[in-house]
Amino acid sequence: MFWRMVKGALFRQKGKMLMIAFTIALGASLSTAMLNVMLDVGDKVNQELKTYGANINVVPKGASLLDDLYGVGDGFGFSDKYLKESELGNIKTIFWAFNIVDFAPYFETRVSLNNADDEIKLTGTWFSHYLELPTGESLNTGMINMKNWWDVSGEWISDLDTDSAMVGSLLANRYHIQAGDLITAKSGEQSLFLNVKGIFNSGSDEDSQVFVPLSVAQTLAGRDGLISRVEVSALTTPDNELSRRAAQNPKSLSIKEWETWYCTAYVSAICYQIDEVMTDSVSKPIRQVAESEGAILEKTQLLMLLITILSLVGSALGISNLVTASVIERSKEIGLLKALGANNTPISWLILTEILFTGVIGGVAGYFAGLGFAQIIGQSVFGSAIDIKPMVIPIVTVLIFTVTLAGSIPSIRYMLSLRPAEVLHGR
Amino acid sequence: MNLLELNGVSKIYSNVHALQKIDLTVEQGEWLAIMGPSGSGKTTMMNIVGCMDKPSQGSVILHGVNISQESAKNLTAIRRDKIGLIFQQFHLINYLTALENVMVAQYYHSIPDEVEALQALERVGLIERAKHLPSQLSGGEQQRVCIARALINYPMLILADEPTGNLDEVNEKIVLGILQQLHKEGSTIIVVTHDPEVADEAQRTVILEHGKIARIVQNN
Repeated sequence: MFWRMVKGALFRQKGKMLMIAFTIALGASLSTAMLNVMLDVGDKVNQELKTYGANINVVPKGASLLDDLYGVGDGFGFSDKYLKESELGNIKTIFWAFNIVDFAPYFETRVSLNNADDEIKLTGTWFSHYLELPTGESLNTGMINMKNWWDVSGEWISDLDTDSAMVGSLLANRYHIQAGDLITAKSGEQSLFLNVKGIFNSGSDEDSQVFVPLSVAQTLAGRDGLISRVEVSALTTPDNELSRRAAQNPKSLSIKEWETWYCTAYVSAICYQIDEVMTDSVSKPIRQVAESEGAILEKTQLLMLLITILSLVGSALGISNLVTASVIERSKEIGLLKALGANNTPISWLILTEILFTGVIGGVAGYFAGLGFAQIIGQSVFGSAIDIKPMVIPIVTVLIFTVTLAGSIPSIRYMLSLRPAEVLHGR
Repeated sequence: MNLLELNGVSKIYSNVHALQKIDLTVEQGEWLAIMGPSGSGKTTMMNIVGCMDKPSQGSVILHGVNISQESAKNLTAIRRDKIGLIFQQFHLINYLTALENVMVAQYYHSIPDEVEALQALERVGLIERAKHLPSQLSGGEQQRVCIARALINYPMLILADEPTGNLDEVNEKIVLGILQQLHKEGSTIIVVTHDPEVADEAQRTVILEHGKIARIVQNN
C-alpha cells in the first residue's frame, strides 16, 4: 500500500511533482554546470595564458651562472656554453609531458648587418618545427605558437626559409629595412644574404634583433647542433609553500613531500624534470609570468567557487521553499492520515520517499541539462568544450540529496505539528 | 452497556468556553444525533469523542478507557482501532482511487486487503466505481467511499460529522439508508447534523446551545 500511495502521489499529481522535480533539476543543472566549469576553469585559463608566451627558460649551466652573477648571460652570445639540439625532444618525455604546450630553442649570435660597424643580435629558432619524439610520437612546435601576439608586417617565415629573415621593428627603423628588402648578415668570415619577409613588433628587446631559422644561425656561427636556450610554455599548478621550498632546494623535502611535489605540475617540478632530460641545463621559471598566471588562476578559481556556492545556496532555498509549500498544501491529506490512525513516522517516510523520488528524477534530468549548460559556457567563454568530470556526479548526488533532505526539514517539522482536528475541522 | 461516558466535560479555547460541563452517556448499539446552531460546540464534542482533541476539564470514558488522560500516541491508536470517522467534506485523498482510499485505513490499522476493501465498497453500492479517482465521483459517491473507509476496520463507534451536509436529496437518502443498515447490524453511531430529518433517524437527539446540553429528545 505504501508504494501504491507513493505511485499515486507521483503519477496522479504530475503537475505538482513536476514543479518540484523542475526546481530540483534547476538546482542540479546549475550545480553540475558550475562544478564542471569550476573544475575545468584552471586548465582553460591556463590554456588561455599559454598564448601569452613561455613561462620556463632553459639555459646551459654556465650561462645561468653568468646570468646570476652579472646579469649578462641572457643569451647575448657571450657564453660559450650550449645545450644540445638533439635533446630537445626529451622535453616531451618528462613526467608532465602533456603539460608542455610548446617550446622553442634559440641560438643567438652577433652579426654586423649590411656591413655596419656595430653588431646586432641574430637569433635562430624553430618557427614551426615538425619533431619526431623518442617515444615514437611527433609534434609541431616553435616560436609562432609562443609569440602569437607579435604584430608582423609581411609574413612569418618557416623553418625551410633558409634564405629569409624577420627583422624587429626598432632595427628595421634604424637600418631603414622594409619587408621584401635584401640584407646581409656577417659573422667573422661568414656572410649571408637574407630576404626580409616580415617586420615584427613584439614590444620587447626582440624588436632589435633579426630572427632566422635555427640552422641558419648555427651555420653562420659554426655551431651546428647547439642551442643557447629554450623557452618552454607549460601548464602549471599555482605555487604553494611546498613548491616554493622545493624550488629553493628539492633535497630539503621528505620522501612523501618530494613525491607530492614531483607528481604535481608545479612550475618548479617541471623545471626539475626538464633538467633531468637536458644535459647540463638549468631551467628557471620566468617568475613574472608564472606568478601572474598563478595569481590569475587562483582568483578565477576562487570566483568560480564563490559563484558555485552561491548558486547552490540559491537552489537549496528554492527547493526548501517548494517542498515546504507542497507539504503545507497537503496539510488536509496529512491531517486525514493522522485521523485514520497514522503516526508521524510512517507519514514522514511517505512524504520523504515521494520527495526523494522526485529528487532523483529532477537530479538526473538536471545533471544532463547541467552538462549542456557547461558546454554552452565553455563555448561562449573559452571557445572550447568543458571536460566532463566524473567526480561531479557523486558531488551533485550528495548535494541534491542533502539539499532536498535539508529543504524537507521545515516541512516535516510543520507536518509533525499538525493536529487532525485543526486541519479537518478548522479547530 | 455504556460505550461512551462524558462526565463534566468542558473545553476552553483561550477565554471561549466551547463546551461547559457536559454529562452524557451513549450505549453500545445506540444511534445518537447531536444538533445545535453554529458555535454551539458540536464539532468540539466530536473532536473530543473522536480522540482528536482533549477536554480541558472532565473525563471521557470510551469502552472503559479514560481517553482524556491518554497521550497523543495512544489517542491515535484508539482512533485507529475503535473509531470510524465520516466527514462532511469527505476528505478523500485525491490521487488515490476509491478502492485505495478505503485501503489506506486498512494499511494504518493492520494489513491492506483488497478483497475486503472491495466488499466494503460493494456494501455502499460502489463496487463498479472502485478504480475511479475522487474527482471522477459525485459528492454522494465520495461520501459513500468515506463511509466504506470508516467501516473497513469494524469500529466500535462511527462518528459522522454532517454526513449529508453536502449532498442532494437523493444521495442524502442513500447515505441515511447505509447508516440505518449499520445501526441494524449493531453499530454505535453518533451523527452531528443541522438537518432535523437526519436527527429524526437517531434514537436520541442531544440539543447543544452555547456549549451546554439544552435538552435531550427521545425519538420514536
